[in-house]
Amino acid sequence: MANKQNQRNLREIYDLLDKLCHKFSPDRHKEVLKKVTTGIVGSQNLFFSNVQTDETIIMTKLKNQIANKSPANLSTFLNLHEELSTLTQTKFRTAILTLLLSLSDAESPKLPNTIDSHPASNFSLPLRSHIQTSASMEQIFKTTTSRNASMNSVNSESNLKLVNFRKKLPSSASTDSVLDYGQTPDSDVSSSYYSQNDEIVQEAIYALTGKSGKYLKKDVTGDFKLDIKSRNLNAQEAISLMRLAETGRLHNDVHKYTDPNSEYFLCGLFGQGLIAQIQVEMTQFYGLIAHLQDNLNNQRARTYTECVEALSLLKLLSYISEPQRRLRTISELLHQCKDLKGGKLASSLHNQLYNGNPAAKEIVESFLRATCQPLQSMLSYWLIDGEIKDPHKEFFIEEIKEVSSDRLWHHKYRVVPSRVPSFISKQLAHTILVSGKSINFLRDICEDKTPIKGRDELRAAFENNIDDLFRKGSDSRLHDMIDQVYLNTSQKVLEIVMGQYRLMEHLASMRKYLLLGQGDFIGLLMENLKDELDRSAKDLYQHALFSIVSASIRATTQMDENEVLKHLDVKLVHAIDGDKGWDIFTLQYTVHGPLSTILEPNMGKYQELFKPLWKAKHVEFVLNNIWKEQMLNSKMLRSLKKTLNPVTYRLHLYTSEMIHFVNQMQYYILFEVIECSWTNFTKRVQNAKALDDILQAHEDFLNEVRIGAFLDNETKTTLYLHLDIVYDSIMKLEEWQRTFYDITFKELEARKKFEDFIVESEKSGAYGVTTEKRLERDDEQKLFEQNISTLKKSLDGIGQSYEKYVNDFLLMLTSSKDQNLQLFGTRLDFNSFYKKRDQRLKTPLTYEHMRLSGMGHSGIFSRSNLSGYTPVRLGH
Amino acid sequence: MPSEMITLQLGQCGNQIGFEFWKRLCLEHGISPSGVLEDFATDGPDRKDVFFYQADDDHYIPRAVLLDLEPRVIHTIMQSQYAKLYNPENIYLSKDGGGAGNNWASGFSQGEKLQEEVFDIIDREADGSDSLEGFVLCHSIAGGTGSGMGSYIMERLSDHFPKKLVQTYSVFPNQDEISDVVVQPYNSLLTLRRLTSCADCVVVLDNTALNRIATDRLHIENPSFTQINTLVSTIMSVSTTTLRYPSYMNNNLIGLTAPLIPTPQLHFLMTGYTPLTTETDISNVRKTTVLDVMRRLLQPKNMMVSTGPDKTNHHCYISILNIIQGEVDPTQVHKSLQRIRERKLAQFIPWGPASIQVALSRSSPYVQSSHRVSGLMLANHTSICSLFERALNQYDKLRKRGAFLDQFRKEEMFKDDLHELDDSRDIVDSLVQEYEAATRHDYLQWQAKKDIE
Repeated sequence: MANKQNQRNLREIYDLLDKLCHKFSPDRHKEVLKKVTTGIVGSQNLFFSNVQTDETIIMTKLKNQIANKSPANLSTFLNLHEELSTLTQTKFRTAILTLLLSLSDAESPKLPNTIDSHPASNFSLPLRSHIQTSASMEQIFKTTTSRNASMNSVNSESNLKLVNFRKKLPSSASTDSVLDYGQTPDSDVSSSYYSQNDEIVQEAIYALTGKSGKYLKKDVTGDFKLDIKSRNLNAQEAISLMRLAETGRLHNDVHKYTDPNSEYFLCGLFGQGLIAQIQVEMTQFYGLIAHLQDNLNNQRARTYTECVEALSLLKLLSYISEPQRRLRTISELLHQCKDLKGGKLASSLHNQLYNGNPAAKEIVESFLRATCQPLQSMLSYWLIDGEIKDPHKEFFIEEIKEVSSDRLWHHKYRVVPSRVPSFISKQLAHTILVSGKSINFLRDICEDKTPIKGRDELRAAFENNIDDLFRKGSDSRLHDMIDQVYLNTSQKVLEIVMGQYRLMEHLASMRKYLLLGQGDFIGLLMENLKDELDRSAKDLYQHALFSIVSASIRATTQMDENEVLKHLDVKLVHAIDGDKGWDIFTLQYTVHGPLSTILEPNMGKYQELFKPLWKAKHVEFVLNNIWKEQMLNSKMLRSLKKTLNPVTYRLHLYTSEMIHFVNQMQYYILFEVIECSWTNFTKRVQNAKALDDILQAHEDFLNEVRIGAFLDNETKTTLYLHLDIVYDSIMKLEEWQRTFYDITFKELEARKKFEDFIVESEKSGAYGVTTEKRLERDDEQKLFEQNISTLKKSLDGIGQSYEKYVNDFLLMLTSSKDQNLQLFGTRLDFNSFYKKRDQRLKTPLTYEHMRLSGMGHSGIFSRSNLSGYTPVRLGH
Repeated sequence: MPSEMITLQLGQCGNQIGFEFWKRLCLEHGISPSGVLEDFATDGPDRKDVFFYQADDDHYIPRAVLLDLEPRVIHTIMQSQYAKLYNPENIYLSKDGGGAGNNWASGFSQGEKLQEEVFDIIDREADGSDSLEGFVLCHSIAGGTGSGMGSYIMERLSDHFPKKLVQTYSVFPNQDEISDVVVQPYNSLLTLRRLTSCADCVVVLDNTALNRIATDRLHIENPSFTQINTLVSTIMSVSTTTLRYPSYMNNNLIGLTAPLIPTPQLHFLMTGYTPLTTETDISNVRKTTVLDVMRRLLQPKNMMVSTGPDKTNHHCYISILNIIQGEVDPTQVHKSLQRIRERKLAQFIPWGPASIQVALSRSSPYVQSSHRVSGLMLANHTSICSLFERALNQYDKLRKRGAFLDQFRKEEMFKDDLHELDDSRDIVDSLVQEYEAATRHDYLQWQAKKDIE
């Protein structure tokens, strides 16, 4: 539309100009008109661009001028402007103001070549207004040229004036033409000078865009060198050329980053963003070059016939100084970005953001913004739809395609640290990861496809607030938005996992069954499994065991047993030769759907924990049965009391020692470790804001239990192994007791038979037994007594080795660096029974005392204490 | 259902404390007096089937056998609102209803006569359970039926069920008041003999201590049977709480008693309970923490057994199990244990490892307690022998004079001679000696030495 109007206006303008010219010089008016129109066309843009100029800038200038000339009128002017602004639109107002400004310029005394007396000044007004608004040397040059062109043709009088004025200048000597910015039209300088000047300027302009020319040649490094042909240039020209060539080099430097064929080409979407911004800068630069070239062209067209204020190297230098600085900044900036892409590129730019130079900072900011354009869209895709649109592997969150969706939560997505831009903190990256992951989790695993709340607002917010990312601190709107998304999605995931999928119930079940929290079930299970598991590991069948497990569940669970059985399973680990069923039996708890995604990585830990807990429970189970047998048999064997008492008392005491140990051990693991950690765990679950809080708490819980069960790296090879030895020595008692009671009951039977026989014989009148029979009986009894004393010896062997192992175990505990273990050690020997008997145990206890009282903090002390003792005694 | 327990209630006292016990269990499990599960208790995590079983109409029936030789107490029970709770087939009243006349010998011989009928009931009950763990006997040792018939049944049980444990809650007579049962020392001694040789675990409920606690600590001037029995039922219910609300340990009778009883003879357990308050006495509610509770449990004044002053200060704990209920911070427990150890608040045997074992137990959600934490101590303490010594002394006084022996001579058992009494005295005396020996280092050698003598 504006164009059409312009075209219409042109016609009118032309008519007006025609009239005007006619008036000024009726005789030559056709010729003058032609010149004038050419001039106008040459600087056409200038006319129309005036209107675009900002009102406030013009106002400021006007105010300055008025204030300079007549401060009193300033208020009047301001009032008038105010009135004007109520009446007119901004566009027209700007035009009016521009007119006023040009008028005032025209009056301005600071312009040396004032020509207001001349009627032609009317024509020059709009041109000059542009000079003021753009404040660029380039424009001054142009205006001057065009003005001169028109003036020359309009009135020679003005030329004379100009010449007179010029002659006053010290540098007006015609030989020193390089410094001149105008040419005296009537001087007798040869046209070759002009052509040489133009040639050099052309050379310079070429050089500015990085092209080699006659004098300037690019060498291999891309720097410009003066060619041998430049010998005929004077020093001034050479230096100027070199300086201009520097800009050219910078241009090339910058340009190579945008050139797909160059090794410097910036790859990826982030790179594309950056290139786009570089090109914006380059376009501005090329715009300038185009102007210069245009002016040069004009100048060339005229130089032979007309006298012009020619474009010179010096002028070029001054025009180019600002763009050169800019280019240099950009070049330096880009230098840091070589071979970088994605997050690193952004980081590299961001590192330079805090620059003391505001101009440089502004450039960096614009570059960073452009570079992060793809990041912003990636973020909004990820945070709102959970999608990754990242063809060039630049986004700092990565989807691992090979991972199936059942391991989505832990393994499918991850933050790639090298791609995280420096302005995104680790915490924030994690938050972003979890948010998008949650969306995927909800969609793929929980099959909940409802979009997140306020999707569109979020997207808009991301688009508008991307700058917030670069700011320092994390309290901006964008950070709030991200937090909000995180909270929303996590909340939702949490609700679904805790509600619909009952995560906590499953964890509680796992604790009940895999960590043996449900004592009555485990007790019954052992009772029921005893016959099966006492067999060799090879003879076990999983399905047979499972039916026992399910029977035990049915008998002990008050809840829905089928619900439990859906998840509980028997797993037999790989058997080694000589393994009993007890060694390979494990319980397994399987969860399905989303929970398996979440819990899968920790299942192994449960498996690992089950073994020592099961073993301890088994030992307790065996001991309880041993104890029960002793209690019940003691009543029946009362008649053999005299012979048996020395053995049975020994047996009872060893048994009670062992029971005490196993009970304390179990109490420690099941209560102090598991129960206490569980309490902490449930507390943390209650305060959890996101699923990961729970998972972290769960993992911590398992780790605490692992440490408590001596399964961490440090104790696995010492306490854990040694505990196994203690347990194994206890298990020997079972076998011994079986033999013992077999023999004793046989003896009991025999005695009873013998007495019965006597009673019988009394009845039959034979009264008593034969000497033979009595001797036989005596022999049997003697044999029995011998057997008993052998058994007593082997019992002492079992008991003594057991006590030795326990002492060793206690010593390990009390000399442990872990205070919890030390305390457990003292509680295991609550009444100092072992300590009083084993001299070794006293030493670490005193040491412990010293340490606790703050005397022995040095590591050497504790090491020397440990080194005096070899903890594991295998092969006994 | 595994680990079932069958409760046998014998005589006036046994039935009374049994009655209170079942009342309490019903309350804790949300079972109405007629055996119907209350609506609020349908999905509790408790195990009711240790002590109850379900009839065809799903109502709960206690695994209890009620035996008495005279009808008074059982009639009271049958007239109470709990009448429908019990299986009527499990209630056995002697047909002549004359009772045992507070005579052990009479109770014993009646038990012998009635054994077939009684063991029919017990066998039926035992067959009705999947894997019976043992029997709980409630009785007093001083009367006639509980002591005499109880003794007979104990003897028969270990023959009849050699694989089952027998636990008793035995009420010892109040020494502070003069008993109207003159033959009490004989009865006690004869019952003690059976408790020593036939039972696997005896929880001693000492009426002397219970009455003292009621008057001194609860400030009841003349404590009634019901008030005393409330104390008893608390002890009985809490001591079975780990069976009924199972968690990770001590979930069956073996698991509960094996850590407490090191050798077959030393199976007499004391109890202590804290905090003690009556329903009306709310002003006495104190702040309770785990440490408070565990410390108070070690104070003699909270023990439900009156052992008399330990002049030589040589008696010691053989074992301790604290059952703690309420809002317990688990991390506080081992801190408390550590504290008790540092302060040497408890003295233990020198001949074996011993410690305070703790069982944290859930408690019933249906019974409100005004205390945050409460605790029951089951302890095997050597000073319990002073109770037996006292019984021996009283017996000796009577026996020296040959007093009141006529009633015994009437029975078959004592017709010819009184060696039963002498044998019993030997056994109880040897029990006392064993407890004394258990205070010394050479407990193990004691047995050998004794044999040489």
